[in-house]
Amino acid sequence: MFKEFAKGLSITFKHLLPGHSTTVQYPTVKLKPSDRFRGLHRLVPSQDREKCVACYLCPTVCPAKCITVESAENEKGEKYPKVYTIDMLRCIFCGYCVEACPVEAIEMTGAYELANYEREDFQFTKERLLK
Amino acid sequence: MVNLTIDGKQVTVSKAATIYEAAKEAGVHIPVLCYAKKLLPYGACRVCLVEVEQMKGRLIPSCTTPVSEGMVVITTSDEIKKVRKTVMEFLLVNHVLDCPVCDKGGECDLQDLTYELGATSNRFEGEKFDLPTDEVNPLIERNMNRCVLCGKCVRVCDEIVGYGSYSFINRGFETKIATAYDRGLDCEFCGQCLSMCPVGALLPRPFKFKARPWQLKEVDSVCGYCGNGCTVTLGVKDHKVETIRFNDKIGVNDGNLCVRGRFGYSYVNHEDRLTKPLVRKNGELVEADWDEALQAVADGLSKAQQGQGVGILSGARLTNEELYLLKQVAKVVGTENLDHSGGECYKGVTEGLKGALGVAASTATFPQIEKTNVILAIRSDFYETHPVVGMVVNQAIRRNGAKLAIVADKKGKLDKLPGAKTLLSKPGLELDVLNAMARLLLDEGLAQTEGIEGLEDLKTALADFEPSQVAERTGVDLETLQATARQLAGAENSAILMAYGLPYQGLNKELATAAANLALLVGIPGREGSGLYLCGEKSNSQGAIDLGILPQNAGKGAQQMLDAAAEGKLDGLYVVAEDPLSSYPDRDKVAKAFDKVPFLVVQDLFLSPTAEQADVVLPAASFAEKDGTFTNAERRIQRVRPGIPSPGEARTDGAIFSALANKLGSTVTFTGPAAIFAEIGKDTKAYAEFNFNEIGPQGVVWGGEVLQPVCKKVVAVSGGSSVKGDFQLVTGSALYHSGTVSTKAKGPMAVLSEPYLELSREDAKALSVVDGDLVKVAGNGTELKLKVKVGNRLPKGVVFAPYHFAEANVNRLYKGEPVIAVTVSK
Amino acid sequence: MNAYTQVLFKNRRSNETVLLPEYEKSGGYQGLRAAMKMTPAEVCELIKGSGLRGRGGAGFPTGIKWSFFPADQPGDKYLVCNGDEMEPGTYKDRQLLLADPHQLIEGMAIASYALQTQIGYIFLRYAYEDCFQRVERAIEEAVEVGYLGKNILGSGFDVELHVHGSAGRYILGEETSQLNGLEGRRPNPRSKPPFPAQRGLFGRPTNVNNVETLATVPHILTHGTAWFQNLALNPESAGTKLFGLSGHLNRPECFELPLGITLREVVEDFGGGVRGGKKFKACLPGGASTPYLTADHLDVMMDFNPLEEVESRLGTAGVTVFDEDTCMVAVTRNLNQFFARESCGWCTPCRDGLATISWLLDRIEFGQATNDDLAMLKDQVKNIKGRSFCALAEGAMGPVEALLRLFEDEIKDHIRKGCCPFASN
Repeated sequence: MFKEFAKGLSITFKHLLPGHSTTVQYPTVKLKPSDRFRGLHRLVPSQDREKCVACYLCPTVCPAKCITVESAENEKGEKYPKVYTIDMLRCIFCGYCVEACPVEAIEMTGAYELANYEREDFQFTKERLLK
Repeated sequence: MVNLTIDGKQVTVSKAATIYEAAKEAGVHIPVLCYAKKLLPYGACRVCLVEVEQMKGRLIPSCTTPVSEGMVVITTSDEIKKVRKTVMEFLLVNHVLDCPVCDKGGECDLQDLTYELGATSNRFEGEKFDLPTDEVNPLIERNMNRCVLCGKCVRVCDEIVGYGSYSFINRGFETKIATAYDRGLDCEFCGQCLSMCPVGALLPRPFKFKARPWQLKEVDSVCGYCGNGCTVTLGVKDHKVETIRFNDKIGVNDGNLCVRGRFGYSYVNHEDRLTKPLVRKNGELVEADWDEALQAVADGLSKAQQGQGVGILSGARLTNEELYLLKQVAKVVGTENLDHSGGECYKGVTEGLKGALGVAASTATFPQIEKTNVILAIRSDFYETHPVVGMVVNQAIRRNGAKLAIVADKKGKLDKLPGAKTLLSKPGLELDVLNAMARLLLDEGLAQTEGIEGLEDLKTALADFEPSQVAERTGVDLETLQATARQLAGAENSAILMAYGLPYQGLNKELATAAANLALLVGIPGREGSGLYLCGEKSNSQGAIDLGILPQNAGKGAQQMLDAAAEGKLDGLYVVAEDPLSSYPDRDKVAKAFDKVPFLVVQDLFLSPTAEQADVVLPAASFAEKDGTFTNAERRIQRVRPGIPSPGEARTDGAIFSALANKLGSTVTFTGPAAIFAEIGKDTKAYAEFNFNEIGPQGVVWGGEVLQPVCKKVVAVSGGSSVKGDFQLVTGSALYHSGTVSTKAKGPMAVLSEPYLELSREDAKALSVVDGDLVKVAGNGTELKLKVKVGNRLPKGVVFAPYHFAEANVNRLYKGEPVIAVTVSK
Repeated sequence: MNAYTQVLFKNRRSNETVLLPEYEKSGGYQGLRAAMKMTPAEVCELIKGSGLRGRGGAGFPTGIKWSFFPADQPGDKYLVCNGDEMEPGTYKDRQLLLADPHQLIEGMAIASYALQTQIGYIFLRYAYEDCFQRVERAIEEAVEVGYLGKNILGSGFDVELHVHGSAGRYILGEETSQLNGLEGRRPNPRSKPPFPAQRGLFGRPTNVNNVETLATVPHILTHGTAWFQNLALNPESAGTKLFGLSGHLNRPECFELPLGITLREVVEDFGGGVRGGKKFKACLPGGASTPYLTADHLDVMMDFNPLEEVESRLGTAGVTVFDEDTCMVAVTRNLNQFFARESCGWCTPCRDGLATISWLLDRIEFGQATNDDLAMLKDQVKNIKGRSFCALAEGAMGPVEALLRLFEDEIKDHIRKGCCPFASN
C-alpha cells in the first residue's frame, strides 16, 4: 500500500519541480489560443474598403443583438456599412456572425484581452474592427 | 361548380378556376413564379407544373389550365420535383447571385423557390448576365441581370396601368425586358411593376439600401392623398416610414397604388415638420409649450367669438373621429361658421347629387366599374386626380371590352386607353355637352323616365341644347356625342365618373347636377353594377361631407368667412390641415382675409405660407401617425393605423381638438377613436351600423355596395360659358401630385419639381417657345411667370397650370372660375 | 424514275408564274364553282371524307379541324393561311406560290365559304418577297373576275383576302404566335385552350391552315375524294405531297410525290443519290424538328403514320440528307443553335433549357465532354420535352433525341477521342 502512495505522491511532487508548472505567468507570459478560438471580431478589409456589404445577416442572426449596422450607398453606387458597431459587453462570442456572413467579411481573432475602464470603450466601431 | 381531386383531397371550385386556384383553396401548396392573382394567366415559368391523371404523358401548367369535372391532380412526385428543380437551375445559370446587396433579399421569390426546391447547386454553367442597370429615373431602379423574365412588370403595366412602358425584346437566350428603344425608364412611375417583380430586378430607388425586408414593421393603413382610399402598408424601421410595402393580398384596390401613394410617403419624415407649437410674440413666431399655445388659442377664440365671431376652415385630411371632435370644438366655441376644402368644390355632391338623388355620395363602389359596359368620364383629369380608379377603368376596357367616353376640355391619360373617345369641348362648356346628351336621350325616347320627377322642367331647360347646335358651340364631334349618349342608354351597366377638388370649383354643382340628370335618364342610380361616382380630392373628402363639416344653420361657408374676414367682419379664423394661401382660389382675397383677421390659428404639418401669417401655429400629425378612419370616395370606411410616433411634440389633430375643447370648458372626453366612432353613429346614421374594431382590411361601405337614391329628380341646369381671349387657362391636378402636401414629398418632387404652364405644340410653335422657357401669363389683373411644358394634351389656345405649387401663385389668376382668359407672351 | 401524277405542280414551269387565264384553262376555279353549289357543311364533310391531312408539319386531319370551327357563330371570323415557312430544310410553299399561286387563292375562297369566314389573311415569311408579289397579283386577278370580293360567283358570299408579311421570326410559324403577330403584338404563343377556333385573331374564331393544305383543297372539290385517295401509294393515306430535297444529294430539288413513296425512291431516284457517290448516312425526313432516319429506314414509306412508327415524323417533308462523312453531333448542334436562338424567350425550359442543350452539345462536339455530360444530355431531353409552353422546344428535342437513340456511339467516340472524329485533319 505504501508503494502506491509513494507512486502517487511522486507524481504530485514532480509538478512542484521547476519546469513542470501548468500555470502561466500572465501577463508577462501569454498563451497563444488555438486557431479556432473565438475572440475579438475583425472586419476584413478588401483593397479600398471593408469587405462587408451591409447585408444585415449578422445583426439578424446575433442572439445577443450586439451588432448595429447601417447601410448606405457609396460614391460607386455600392452598398457599404456606414455604421458597423459591436457592443462587446453584450457579445457572447458564439461566432454566428462569422457563420452567417455571405462574403466572409467578419472573422474572430485570438484577441481575448478585452478589459476596459469605460463602457464606451466596449463599443467597437467599424474603424476599430477593421484594424 | 366543378369537383376535382387534388393530392387526394376532394375540392369543389367554380368552373372558371384554374388548377392552381383550386389547389390554393384546398390548402395545397404549388410553387409559382410568374403567377399573379390580379393578372391574366401566363404560364411561362413552368414552376407550377403538375400531373393530371386525365392528361398523362405531359406535365400541365396549373396556373393556366382550367379545372374540369373529375380531374385528378397530383402536385408533387419525384418527376415534378425534378422538373421544378431543373427550372430553378435554368434560371440560376445566368442570374447574378448578389443577394447580400440586393434589396429584395429576404422576400425574393427566387430565393424562396431555390430554398423550397432545394436547388443548392447547379449542373449547368454559363456566363452571368452583365447588363447595365437603368438608373436614369429617380424612382425605379432596373437591374436586368436579376430578371427572371416572368413578365409580371410587362403585364401589370399593360393590363392594369394601361401605360405599356415595358416589353420583351430580342429572342431566345437574349430575351430581356426593355422599354421602347431600350432607353431609360420614363413613365408615370406608379411603381406597380415594383410591386409585382418577384426578384430584385425592379427596386424602389428611394428605399435603396435602407433596410432589409425582415427589419420592417408592416402597418396597414390608408393612403393619405386622394379619395381613392387605397390600402398602403407602411414599412417602418426605427420609428421611420422607410417605404410603402407591396401588398396585394389584402385591402382595397388590389394593392394598386399610384406614384403618390407609392413614393409620396416621405413628407411624413420631412425635416421641416413642425415639432413645437409656435406663438406670435412681438410679431415673431416663437416656440412655446402646448399649454401656453392652447391657452392662447382658447383665449383668442373666445375673445373673437364674443366679438364678430370665429370661422373654422378644415381640410379633408383629418380622420372621421378628428372631424367629429372638430365639430365639438366648433360647438364649444359657439360658432356655426364651419366648412372644409374651400367650401365650393364639394357642392356637386352636397347640393348637386343631394338635389337630384337625395344622397350626398357616389352611388356604387369602385370594383363595380370593372364590370360595366360603358363608362363616361367627365373631365379628363380623372386619371390625374384618381389614378387607381383610372386603372380600374383600364381593366374594364381591356378585360371586359367596356367603352369609354370622356367629356373634357383637354386630353389626359384616359384618352390613351384603347377605344377611348374624347368629346373635346371648349373650356367651360363641358356642361353643355352633358345637357345635349340628356336632350338627345329625351328626344330619341331612349331615356328612362319612369318615376323621375322634374322631367318637364328639364325638357324646357334643354331647349337650347339641341345636340347639333351644342356640337357646333362646344367644338365636340356631333357623331361621337350622339354615339356616346346612345351607348349610355343602351348599356346594361354603366358608370359616370367625375372628380372634384380645389382646382375644379367652377360649375362644380352644375356639372354634378347634369351628370346626375344623365345618370337618372339612363337609369344608373340604384342599379346593381352601375354607378355615378363623384370622387373627392382628399383622403377623407367624403367623410367630411358625411360628418357635416359644413356651414351649420346660418353659418358662413369658407368663401363667406374669407370675404367677411377680408372686410374686417370676422375676428378669428381657425385653419386646420389646410393651406388656403397656396391652394384656395383667389390668393389675394385669402391674403387680405388673413391680414385683416385679428386672430388666426393654423394647425398643420408644416410652416406653410398660411401658417406663417398665424398668431398661433399648432403642430399636427400626418396620416401615418394617426388612429382612426377615413371614408373614401366610394363610401368605404377604412381604418387608418399609426405606424410611427409624431416628431417632437407634434400631436394628432384629434388630441389637439380634445385638449382645446377642454381648455374652452368642455368636459367631454373620449377614450379613443373607437369611442368617438361609436359617437359619430349618433349624428351620422349611416355610420351607426358599424363597430370601429370590426372594420376589416376591406373596410366597410356605408349604404351598401349600391346606394339607393332617396329621390329621382332631374334638375334643370343652364349651360356654361366660354371666355374670349388669346388663351384660355384651366387649372387642375398633375398626375404626380395631390393637394399641396405632396410638394413636400421627395418621390413626387423628384418627378415633377416645378410649376409649369402646359401648352399645345401649335401654340408653342407660334410663341416660339420650347420646354423650360419662361413665359408671362397675364389675366385677372395679375401676371405670372411660368416655365413652359409642351404637350399633346391640349387643344390649340388652351393652357393648363397645375395648382399644387405655392410659389407659382397660380391661384392669383384662378379665382374659382371654370376657365380664365389669359394672354401668354415670351 | 417513276412519273407520278402531278397535281399542285401540274402547271409548274421554271422562272414563270401561272396567271389566271392559264390557271382557268387547266381547270382552275372549278373547285370553287363546285363548292358554291354545296352547303358549307357539305364542303367540310367532303374534305373530312377525303382524308386530307395538314401539310404544315403536324398532319392534323383538315376536315376534322374544319368541323370544329363554329361556322354558324355570328360576327367576325377569320381564316389565316400560314405561309411563314421558316423551318430549316423546308421550302415547298415557296415553290408552290412561285409556280401557281391561284391554287391557294381558290383554296382559301373554298375554305372561307366552308367555314363562313369573310376575311382571310395570308401570312408570309418575311423573306418571301417574290411570293408576296405573286400572291398579291393573283388576288388582284381573282378580285377582278369576281372569284374574290363581294358576292363571289353571284353566291352572295363575300371573301376578302389580305397578304401579311411577317416580321421574321421562326416562332411566327406557330399558329397562336402568328395570330399575335398579325395583331401587331410580340409573337409569343398563346395558351390553349382557348383554341384559335374559339378565340383566335382579335379574339374571334380563327382557322389556321398551311399553304399547301389550302392549295390542295380545290383539287379535291374538282376531282372528288376517290381520285384524291388514289393519288397516294399508301392505301391508308391520301394525296400527294411536296417534297423539298436538300443536303448531300445530286439533285436537291422540290418534287411533288405521292404519299407512301419510300425514302429510298425519294433519295435515290428523285434526289439522284448521295453526292460524290458516298453512302447515305441519315436524313431529316421533314424539316429541322423531325427525328433523323438512317439507312435502316430507307424502305420506310414517307407518310404520316409509317414514319411515326419508326419514331420520326413526316413534318413538312423537307428531306435533308447527310452523307457518311457528316458528324451527326455537329448537325444536331447546328440545328439546336437555331432553335435556341429562335425561342421566343417566354418559357423557362425553352429559353434557358435549349441554351443548356447547346452548351452540352458544344462540349461534346469540341471534346470537352465526359460521360456525365452524356447522362445530363439524356436527362435534359426529358426535362424539356413536354414541359414547355409551345411545340418549339418539343420540336427542337426531335433531332437531339434521335441523336441519342441512333448515334450514341458517335457521341461516345467524341468523348473518348476528346475531339470530333470527323474533323478534317
